[in-house]
Amino acid sequence: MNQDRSFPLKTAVEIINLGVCLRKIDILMEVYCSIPAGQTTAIIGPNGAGKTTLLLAILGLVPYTGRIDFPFFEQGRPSIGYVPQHLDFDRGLPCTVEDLMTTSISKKALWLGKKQKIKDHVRVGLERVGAEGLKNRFIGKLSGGELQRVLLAMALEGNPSILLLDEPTAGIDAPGEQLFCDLLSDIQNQANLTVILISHDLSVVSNHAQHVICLNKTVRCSGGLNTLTEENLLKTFGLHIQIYPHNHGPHQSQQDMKP
Amino acid sequence: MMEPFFQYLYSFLQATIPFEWAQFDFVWRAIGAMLIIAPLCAVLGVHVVNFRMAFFSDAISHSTFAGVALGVLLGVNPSMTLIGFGILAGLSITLLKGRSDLSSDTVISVILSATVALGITILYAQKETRNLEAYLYGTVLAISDVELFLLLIIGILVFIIMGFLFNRLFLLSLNHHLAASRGIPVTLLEYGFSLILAVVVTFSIRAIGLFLVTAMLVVPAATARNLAGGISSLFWIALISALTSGIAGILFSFYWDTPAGASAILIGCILFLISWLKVRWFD
Repeated sequence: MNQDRSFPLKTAVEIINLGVCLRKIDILMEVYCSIPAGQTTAIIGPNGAGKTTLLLAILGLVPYTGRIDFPFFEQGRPSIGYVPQHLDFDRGLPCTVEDLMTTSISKKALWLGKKQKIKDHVRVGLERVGAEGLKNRFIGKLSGGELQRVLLAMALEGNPSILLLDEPTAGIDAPGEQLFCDLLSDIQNQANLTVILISHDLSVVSNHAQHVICLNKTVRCSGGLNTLTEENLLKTFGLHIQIYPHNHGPHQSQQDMKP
Repeated sequence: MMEPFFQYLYSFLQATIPFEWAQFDFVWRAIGAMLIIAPLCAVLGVHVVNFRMAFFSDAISHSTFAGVALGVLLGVNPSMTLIGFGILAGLSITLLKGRSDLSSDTVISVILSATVALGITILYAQKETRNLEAYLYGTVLAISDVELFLLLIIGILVFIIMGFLFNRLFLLSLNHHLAASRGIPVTLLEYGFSLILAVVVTFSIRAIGLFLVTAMLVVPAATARNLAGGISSLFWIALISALTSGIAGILFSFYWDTPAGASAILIGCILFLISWLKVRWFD
């Protein structure tokens, strides 16, 4: 295992000998990694590598062996926001963005009406992600990028210290992806958030992450962007992925790497 | 204890409303039952459609057939064994779905087949098919004061619980992990909803019949989906649609001697058709 232990930043999440076994299948084994605080860490790996399971383990939603510590946070487990890859609904569901956000803020049944305080809260949350204009739109009528911004606003509710995103740019076109990643970067800088994201898109990883974990059942390599060598990608994905050298800045959206 | 209260209420209503149908106690009992069942079906139906649980609901209602048969076999009131069997079937499906790699459709189908086959076998062996129509088609016009009172208690309890759980269930229907990440006890909520649904379905069978009780959950919610501008109006339109079709079904039954449950569902389907045409032509 190529493990970069010389990372100078404080550690937000320390994963020690993590194992997840579901229905007698080992999803993750002997996972050791550190996730730096205040930075964006990308988890990459092929399908079935256990990326989503690792996020769920950090969220505490799957049983695991080993330890997940949060050394940067003195009061123990920090608040964690989660952006899922997709929502499961029919496109005909008459649910507005305001309805969706209210369900996670208010315990009062939606059919009993919404208090002005809740409406204001939703408006502020949407303004934070530049989505205030979407308040009255049905969620089934939103584009992929718009829905991701709304889900981001939901995840940011309660000002979490760590933000987990499961393939946030999957199914989003290039401009939408750029917009979302820029927004995420701005919010991260403002709130000093630790961001952990799963992505299949190596251009998103190379443009927006500062730290990478290559996962395939276990950690194949981790560290800064220079970890994304041809050799490490071969170890992770099991096939040759050639990386073309580029001079893009951190926010350019062009494909930097091609299979 | 409650009989004098109900008698006073019926007398008051009969004196207030001058129509022929309003002069009979059994009609008011039926309307009372529908005034409880319709809102329950509306609040649960919204989630049944979101969770795509129509087949699950059908399995619960059809599994009660075995409960009725068991009641006949044991010589106890089938209404009691029916409720027990419906709840057992609902919880069994939820348990098996969580512990099996099979699709939920397959699990539901296995339970449904087993319970219906069990019911037919028992009834055939017992040569007992009397009074089955009451369970198959429902007899809301034959509901008693005691049953109405019991329905009222169940209705109030379920409505209070659903008032607390509505938003959480809605979030759960959208994404399991998102709901769990917001601190919602997902597994407990899934079992809780299955239990509540089983209770409401089994208690509604007396009025609607086991063939059609799922329709009372799904049809008003489907109509509301076509018309609503948000989740709040989704619930209220489903409720108005369920109430309108339920009460109109009772009046149809009174004047034209049709089964009240089936008439209610037919009217509900006409309302759905109108809402669908409205979407097709005007939206």
